[in-house]
Amino acid sequence: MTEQSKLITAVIDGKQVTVAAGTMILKAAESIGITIPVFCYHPRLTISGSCRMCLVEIEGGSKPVTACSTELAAGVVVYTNTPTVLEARREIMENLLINHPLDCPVCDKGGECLLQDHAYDWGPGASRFTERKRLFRKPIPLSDRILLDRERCILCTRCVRFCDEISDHRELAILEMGGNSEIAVAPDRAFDSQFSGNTVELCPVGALTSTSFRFKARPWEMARLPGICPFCGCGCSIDIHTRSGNIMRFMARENPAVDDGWLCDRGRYGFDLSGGSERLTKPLVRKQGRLVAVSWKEAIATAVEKLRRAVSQYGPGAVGGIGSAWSSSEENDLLQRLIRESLESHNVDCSLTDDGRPAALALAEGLGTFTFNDIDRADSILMIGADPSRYQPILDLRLKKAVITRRTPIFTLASTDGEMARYARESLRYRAGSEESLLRLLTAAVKKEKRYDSFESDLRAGGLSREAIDRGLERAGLGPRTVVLVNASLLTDDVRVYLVKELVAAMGAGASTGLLFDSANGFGARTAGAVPGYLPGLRPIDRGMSGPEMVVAAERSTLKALYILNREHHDSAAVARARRGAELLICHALFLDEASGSGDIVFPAASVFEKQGTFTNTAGLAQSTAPVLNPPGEARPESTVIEEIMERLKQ
Amino acid sequence: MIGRVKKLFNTVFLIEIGKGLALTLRTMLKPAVTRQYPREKRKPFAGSRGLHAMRRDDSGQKERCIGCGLCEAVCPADAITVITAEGPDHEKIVSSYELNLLRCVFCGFCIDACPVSAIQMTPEFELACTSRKDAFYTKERLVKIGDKYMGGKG
Ligand code: SF4
Ligand code: SF4
Ligand code: SF4
Ligand code: FES
Repeated sequence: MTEQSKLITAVIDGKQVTVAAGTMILKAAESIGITIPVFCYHPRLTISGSCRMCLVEIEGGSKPVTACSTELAAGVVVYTNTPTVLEARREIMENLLINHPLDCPVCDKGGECLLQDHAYDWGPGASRFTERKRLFRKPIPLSDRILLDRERCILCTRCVRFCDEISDHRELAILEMGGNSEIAVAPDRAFDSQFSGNTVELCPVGALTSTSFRFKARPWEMARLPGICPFCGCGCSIDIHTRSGNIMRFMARENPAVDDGWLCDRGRYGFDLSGGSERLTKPLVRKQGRLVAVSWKEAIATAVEKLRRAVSQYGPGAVGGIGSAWSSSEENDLLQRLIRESLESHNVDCSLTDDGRPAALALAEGLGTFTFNDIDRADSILMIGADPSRYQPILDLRLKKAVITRRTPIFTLASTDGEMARYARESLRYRAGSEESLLRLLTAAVKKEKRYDSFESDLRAGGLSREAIDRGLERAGLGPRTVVLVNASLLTDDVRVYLVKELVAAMGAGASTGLLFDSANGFGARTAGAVPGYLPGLRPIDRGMSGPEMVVAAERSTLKALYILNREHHDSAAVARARRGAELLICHALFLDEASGSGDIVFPAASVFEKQGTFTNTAGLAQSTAPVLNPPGEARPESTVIEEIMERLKQ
Repeated sequence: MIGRVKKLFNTVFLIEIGKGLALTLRTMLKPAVTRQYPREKRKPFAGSRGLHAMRRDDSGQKERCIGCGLCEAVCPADAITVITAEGPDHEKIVSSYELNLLRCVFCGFCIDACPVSAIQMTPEFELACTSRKDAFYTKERLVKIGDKYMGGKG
């Protein structure tokens, strides 16, 4: 038995508690439902023991001890509510409130503030301090997004610890000493971390505020609904706070399987989808060259009639549908059913610019099995062309956690600069385009084979050698639980998929593979069948045109009708090219821009916050979201429209 | 037996009617208490709860309300809506304050809740209006009422 799993028994407030040796008093008390007030302690940060709010008394002890940083010893008797403890709390509160301004009515934290709550529960009720409070100019910007009000800061260092331990960007520090201490951006640094918003949420008081939420609403005015962040392939859990039909802010909702309770700023502050433009609220149909607003009935009837005519005139092969890796699985499933079942065409894909099939093949071949928690247990991590810091930020935090807390060796191979290279034991660059040779060489190196010569020249041109790869593999030390992370967009053809498969197979049975999608539902769009050659559940079927092929065919007028889901997430240039030759372009769009405005029928869509749907994150975790807002005007969720079209096509 | 004789006596001599007429006569001779509203208006009692008013801040330039939303939170009738925003100097500004008198029950909780005594009640009780819109009191209207009753000072 290791020391960690040894159990000890002690008594807290007369209740017996049995916990693993090494557990802090605070946690042990928590486990039996006793809450001890804290400021600096945070379960996901290291212990600092600086605020002294958590003082408790131990029988026979000479003075109170901090519960957050004192291990519970076997057999001790702890009290959390003796007169001494209460007196200690009162004094800590009185001290903290000496310099804390009476800002509650105009403080964004008011209503969810630890200082407010503790002052109410444990404070002395009145202050004996009659001197002048410490005054600072308020607030000062720490970055474009975060403001600091130094008067309100209680110097708990949660924000500093987050930057030091979690994001590891180390931008914040305490300047000066004693009573003059203040939080500041470290000299010569900028607080430009993509995780900066977490410090605002961590701050127990209202010292850190975000420009995006400042003074918008008070905590008790907002409805809180659980949701899933729709801005990258991670799918972090969020709480969406709304007031009178507007999204006010996103807060993290801890999900150990994904986000560990953190969010990146792209997700946290990205909820304004509009960018200031007006939403589409009425269906539009092109009449005599101009788009005019019509009723839903007319728009759907027109779509049905035109789709039917396209199929009867040119055959089903002249019709195609584009789903979206940013739309829910349900919508992608309906789109492929519309195309495959109702229109009997095989031309389905989820992107206009990339062939969605190879990644689907990879999933069908059993790649893409990793979970975020695998990272915590991994023996080593091999990253190929992946840049999670840019495209899957929360995965970046996971990887850093593995490196910082477990020294997990990482071996990165990338064609561009990525932050992860700094954490890697070994990081190598390859020339973009030489991925195939790279994969072959890697497999050969893993198998310790010598059949690499033919690819070497390709890689050497990019400055990579077999020796370097051998060294990298050696330093990273492949083990039975190696995780291989592959950028899904590298899988541009079937050969690469099989090469990755071979590589992973060479690593042994325990290895897991992650395909890193940068889109919210890249995984789900594929398992929902919005790719050439695969039905939902990745059951194979005849393969039609891929997205890029459809664009070319439409441009040449061999593809006559194109149905596009989620216009905002498709390349405008590709839409314009397809438009040139296509006779019929139908799209669902949030806004009227050049691309959607070129359509023949434009359905006003509901945004991701306005409809129900399932999104599968890059680790294969399917999560459902519920609507938190109503679509504006007559805008409708895409699924109801497609369903209606399918229904009408049957008649 | 005695009761029945008494009843007969009262009935025959119209005693009850006589009592009633006596009361009427006495009241006729007393001065009238009915006030001839609206020609004649009652003087409000101290502390009576009438129409709300907003005081100005110490500079006298703008409303005193700091936008804490406590009046909105405490209002049992959901009559108040405070919308705030960030001003050019990162300060909190009240972009809209709206009091819906159609909902207000004149409990005065909002006045008690206000940490800066910005919202007050005046003795004004003549609140009839001819459109719903007139029953919505915006920040600007409330400040004007404040000027009328509180002399425009902080
Ligand atoms: S800014 Fe907030 S989180 Fe940072 S030290 Fe001050 S009180 Fe703590
Ligand atoms: S007087 Fe009472 S009901 Fe009227 S606005 Fe104030 S709190 Fe609401
Ligand atoms: S309680 Fe007073 S300061 Fe707060 S919003 Fe209402 S009127 Fe303004
Ligand atoms: S919570 Fe224990 S010292 Fe701050």
